[in-house]
Amino acid sequence: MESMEIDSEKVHERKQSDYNYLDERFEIQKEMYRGQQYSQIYFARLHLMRTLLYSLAPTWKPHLPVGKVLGLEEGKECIIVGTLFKHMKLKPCVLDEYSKERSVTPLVKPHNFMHPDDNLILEDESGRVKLGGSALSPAIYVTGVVVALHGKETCAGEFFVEDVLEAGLPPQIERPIDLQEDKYVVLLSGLCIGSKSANPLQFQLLVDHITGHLGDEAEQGLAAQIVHVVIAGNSVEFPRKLINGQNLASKDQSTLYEPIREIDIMLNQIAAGVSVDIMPGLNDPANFALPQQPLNRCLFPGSAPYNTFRSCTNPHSFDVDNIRFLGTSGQNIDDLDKYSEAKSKLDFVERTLRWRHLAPTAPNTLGCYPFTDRDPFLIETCPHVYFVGNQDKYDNRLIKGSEGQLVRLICIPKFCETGIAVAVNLKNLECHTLSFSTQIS
Amino acid sequence: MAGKSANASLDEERKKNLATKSQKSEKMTLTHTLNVLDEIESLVSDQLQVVSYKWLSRNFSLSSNTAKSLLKDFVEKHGKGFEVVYIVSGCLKNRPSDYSVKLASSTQLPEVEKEFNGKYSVHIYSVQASIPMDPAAIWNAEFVQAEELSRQPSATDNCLRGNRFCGISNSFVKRNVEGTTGNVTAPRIESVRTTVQPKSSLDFQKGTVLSNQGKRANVSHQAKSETNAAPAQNQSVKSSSDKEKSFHVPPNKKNGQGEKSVAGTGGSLKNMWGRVPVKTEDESAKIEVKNPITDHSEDQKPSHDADNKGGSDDDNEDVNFKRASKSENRKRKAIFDFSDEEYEDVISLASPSSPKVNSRPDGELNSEDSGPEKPDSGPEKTDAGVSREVKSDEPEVSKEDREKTASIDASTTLSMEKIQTIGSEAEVKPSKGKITEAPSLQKRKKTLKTRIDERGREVTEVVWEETETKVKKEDDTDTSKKLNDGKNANAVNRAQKKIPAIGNAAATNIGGKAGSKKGGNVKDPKQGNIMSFFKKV
Repeated sequence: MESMEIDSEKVHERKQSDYNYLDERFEIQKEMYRGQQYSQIYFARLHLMRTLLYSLAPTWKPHLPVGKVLGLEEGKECIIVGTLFKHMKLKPCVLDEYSKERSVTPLVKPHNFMHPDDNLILEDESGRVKLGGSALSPAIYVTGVVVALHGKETCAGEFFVEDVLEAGLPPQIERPIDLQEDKYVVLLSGLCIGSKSANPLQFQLLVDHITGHLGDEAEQGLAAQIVHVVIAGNSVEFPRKLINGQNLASKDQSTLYEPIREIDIMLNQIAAGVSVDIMPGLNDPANFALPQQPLNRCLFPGSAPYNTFRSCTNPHSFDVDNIRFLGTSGQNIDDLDKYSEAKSKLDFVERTLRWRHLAPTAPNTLGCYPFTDRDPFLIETCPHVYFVGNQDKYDNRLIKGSEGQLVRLICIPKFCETGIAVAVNLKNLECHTLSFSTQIS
Repeated sequence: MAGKSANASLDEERKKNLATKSQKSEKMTLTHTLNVLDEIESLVSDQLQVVSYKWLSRNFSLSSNTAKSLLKDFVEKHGKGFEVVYIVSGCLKNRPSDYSVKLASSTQLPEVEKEFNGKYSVHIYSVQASIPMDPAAIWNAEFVQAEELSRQPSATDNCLRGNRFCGISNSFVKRNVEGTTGNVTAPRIESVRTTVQPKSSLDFQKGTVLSNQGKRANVSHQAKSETNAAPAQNQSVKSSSDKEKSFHVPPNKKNGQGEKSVAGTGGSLKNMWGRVPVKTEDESAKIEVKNPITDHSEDQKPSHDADNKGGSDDDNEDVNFKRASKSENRKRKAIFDFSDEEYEDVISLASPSSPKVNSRPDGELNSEDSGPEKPDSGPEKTDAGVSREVKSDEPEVSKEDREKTASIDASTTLSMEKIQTIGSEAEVKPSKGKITEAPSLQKRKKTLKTRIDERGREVTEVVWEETETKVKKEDDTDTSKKLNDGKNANAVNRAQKKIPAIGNAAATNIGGKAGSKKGGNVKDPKQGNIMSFFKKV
């Protein structure tokens, strides 16, 4: 809404949207740890996914029987459903730390643990079977993915795979088609306040833009179309040298606290004008295992009183004007990057969506809470926007599902390195970047 | 549509209002614009500060847009001597769909502008004497300003919190100022605090006994730190201790344990003293926190405590820790846990003055508590002192403790550490059983009260004086009996508490002093105090 210019000052009204918070499934307050192991989460995953795949199998290959691993007969074609396990030669094992002499400096870890000799195994409650054939590439799949395989057992005892059925994109709620106006959701991540590479002036410019200080009135009118801001992880970075298990001197304590204080003041400025969500990331003061729980509100004494400020879990799921958003701070994709390969990060993102699981490598190589009766990372409803934070560069893609689903995949770059934030238009799911440069020389 | 038009008309009105306001402000600024410009000049040239438009708007309560035009005027008038940083925002030619914002110095400006296409905006970002190497330095002044604004009390609405100078208004933003932010002034404490309910960090609302105790523990530590804390004002002490409470709670707990262990394991000591208080643990849990803090205020506190004991937590801390106070029936164990024994309650036991205090074991846990603080205040400790000290130790705890102790206590739960502090008080020698006069030094003082419990152990309790009076009587009778054994018991009790320095000497002293606590313990500060500690009120 633009005010008529009667005099110089024109104050825009920020647009409003409906917001729904959907993070209950990622919260673990109700869970009780009784010493359980991770097998239960795998079982829950297999159980739910298998039900789904069984329902899809008849449409895929109607003539083939579906069976368990133990029921395989040599030469008989059938479909089996189970969890994939990738046996990796280079995968680091915690026992290695104890078996050999430990050098003072850690060995350089390869970024990617793939090896040509990696092989896949399919496993269900009854047994496991080694997989052969070229239909299933070990380079693409990782441990923890549940798939249906069509093939037959060979005389060598392997299961020769002829075809693979993934779960595919989940059903999606219809996107409202009557949004007349442009409304934007701004996504950013990797502020890394407190690190040497972070430029506070850059972030201040972003805050000024979002809150409507920057630019002339036309620009402020554009900024008034921003209805929501999401900060996807790694907002602070603490000096590692201070966290060494020793007691901190009081001056060190205040040094440790500085980044949080700064982010609180900045969030205060944002929250005073627009709704903002903050998600924990790998370096934030939250728990390590996924799903990461919301950052404590006491960390943000200045911002917490606002009704626009929300501290959220990682992964984070919410609705804005009935557009479903789902996103993580990047740990799931980074872990996939270590154990599989793809041409671009968006490929990983798309795969997780087609496998219907946010973090298939959890709990194998990605820290995870041992749920007993459910797997919260299963994607049950297809989001309209699926974002991943803390990536190296900005990227986005629109994918279509077999039932007409339309999803915008977004890789959000680290703001401290690139100065780029992403804005998504709710009207048409298009996104563009907001970039800030402070090079004055 | 009717709705829409209604909205539209509202908007119009609002705009008109804004317009008129801005008109007015414009007129106003015309008159003092020059003043502002002069100020900017002095800031930039004399103080070498970077004046950004946001800083200007917050400082002079102008809208951002007004600040921008002010800077523009400034540059037109005085621009020659200063460096100007411009900000260009819009869409770049090579990426028309993406929004871009760039800072540029005046020399760079033409080139940067060429990169933008179509409609872009340029305005001044900041004015400074010279452009710093690190662009972040431009941001500093503004951030310092923002920090100051954020430090204002949460209930104050200022331009940082109210989002008032920007170009976009949002009426749906609400800010809850009731303390959601939790004024966490002392971050470290909060977490540890046991059952402190209130959000406000400092107000420890009546916690449960346990919490109190926990608090006390903290308090004790704090007491150390705050030795000067408002003496009688347990409250104050408490508050301070509260902060530290969380910090101290664990230690207190430990202390409680420590007491136990002391009791249990201090074989030699035990033997010496002849007794192993079994209950310390429980008691400690309860009382433990005899708050060293209380100690600080011990001097004052004791009386304070005594009064408080009366159950009217009027003394200071009531608010914070309702330490079981008032509940007379609580077993009060004088648990002087000096959390981490770093504090080495050297004081308490030694305080010669405590004798008198000691005589009031009941309330006078102060002596214990005040240990750290009061070691020096030994003399004061005498009876009154002791009791005080005791109280002070646990300013917070004591309150409740007092009550408790009055009621029960078999405990020698006084933590040893406390004992130290109490030590001085100990001289008072609760064991005397006669707790005599000391406790009543102040109206409500914590005094030590010693009695023999059902198991034949001498129990020294810290009780508030007021309540003590009654209690004392009983105690007196009891203690008189106990005195004889009491001394030993006391010794034992005291020993339990961790009387590092005291050791055997203390024991002996205590025994000897049991009766003479009040007056004569001064000679041997540490030991004397212990006696007073065990002295019954």
